[in-house]
Amino acid sequence: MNVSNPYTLTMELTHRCPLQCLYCSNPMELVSKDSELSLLEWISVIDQAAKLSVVQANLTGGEPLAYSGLPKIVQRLKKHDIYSNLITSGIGLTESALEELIECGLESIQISLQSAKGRTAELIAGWNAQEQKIAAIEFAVRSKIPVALNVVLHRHNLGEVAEIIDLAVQLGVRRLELANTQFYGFALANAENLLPTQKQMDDALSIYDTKKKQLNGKLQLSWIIGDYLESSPKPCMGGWASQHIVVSADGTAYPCLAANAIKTLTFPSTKERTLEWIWKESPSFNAFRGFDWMVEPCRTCEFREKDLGGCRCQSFLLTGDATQADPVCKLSPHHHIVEETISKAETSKKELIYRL
Amino acid sequence: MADGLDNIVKESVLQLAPGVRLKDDETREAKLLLMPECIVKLNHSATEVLELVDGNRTIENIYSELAARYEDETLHKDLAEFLMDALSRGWIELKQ
Repeated sequence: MNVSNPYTLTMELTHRCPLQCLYCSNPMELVSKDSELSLLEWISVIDQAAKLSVVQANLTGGEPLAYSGLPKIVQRLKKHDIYSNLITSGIGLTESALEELIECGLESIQISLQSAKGRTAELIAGWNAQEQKIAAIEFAVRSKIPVALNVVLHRHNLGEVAEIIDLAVQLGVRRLELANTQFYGFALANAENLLPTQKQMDDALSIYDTKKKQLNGKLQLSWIIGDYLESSPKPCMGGWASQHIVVSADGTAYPCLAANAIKTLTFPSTKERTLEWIWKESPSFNAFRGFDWMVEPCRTCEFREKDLGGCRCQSFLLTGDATQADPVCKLSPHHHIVEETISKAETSKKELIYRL
Repeated sequence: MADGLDNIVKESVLQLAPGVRLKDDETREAKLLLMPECIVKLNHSATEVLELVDGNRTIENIYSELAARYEDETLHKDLAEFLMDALSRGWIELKQ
């Protein structure tokens, strides 16, 4: 198979994090500090990524600021002219640490907020770090680096969308991403407690549309849909292993952040294999490229080139078979699983599960 | 903060938005527009326009340079559409 080069490398530098978010996107089994890649190992990953024509890197975690080699990693990316983007909770970000990262070549920063109100943030992340986060956003904006805010949306904060947008305007950030929760890993364990009702979703979306018109370009606003309440699946990652490579804290490589969930595949480690072999030759990266892996109803579906059968991780998590059609699709024989979760969520009294 | 899109005139000076840059990609034989959230592989005409968005040229300057290169009846309309689209996507902005 002719494989085109990846554009983006996402580096999960550590899984250590001060927050315990209900929808944490890290794998269910976290990598311990002892098993994290060393700085030299990351430098080698970056050098290999540059050879593979990667042009952009996301530095994430856990909380990437907890990884002490971060400034050197940014420097190495800069050396290869790879665009660097830090994805952080803002906790632990000091003005001097940010200045150092910018001097090393950091090009943009994305800071998470759990909501507009500290009390809601506490419910979501296990403790109230709102003041610390707002302070970090304020000095990041003053430093002139482009700042994006990312807020994950669900039933506990969809009612605060207007306040969240107003806060972003007040803080003077460049961009606000409102990302509806995707139900993998931890978020799936809390799905019944996070899923909004259709009405909540519609109301929030209508507020978003009104605000977006009023702002008319003063703030870049984006709304990332949550696929449980959509009628068709998303073409996950623009296609399995087509543009993106993720390297986890212990060096294991994945085509996306959630792929660790697929237990029928063995993912290769950058400690044992070159990034080029992983990208071009490894069985797991080749598993769902193209269309040959598809089963019915995807195999002969008229939408298969548009949605690529949806998300492989979601198929595995809900059906135990990653080749199945994404169950969020109305044409999937497993669609009832998604419908049942939506229906259960309406009356759920399940306890919230925090990541420890 | 970036200006809204209400005040655009032909004398407006355009620049790439902060955190957005052009990169010459030899492997892909194209110019890429790099920014925090995404990467855009530019076609030839988008490349030509964005190379003129340099923080010095006005919209009028950009139009006249392109008009000198191409005799194209739809250039004015195409350029206006492209610039509005690039502004609303946050690729470019009005220089203060």
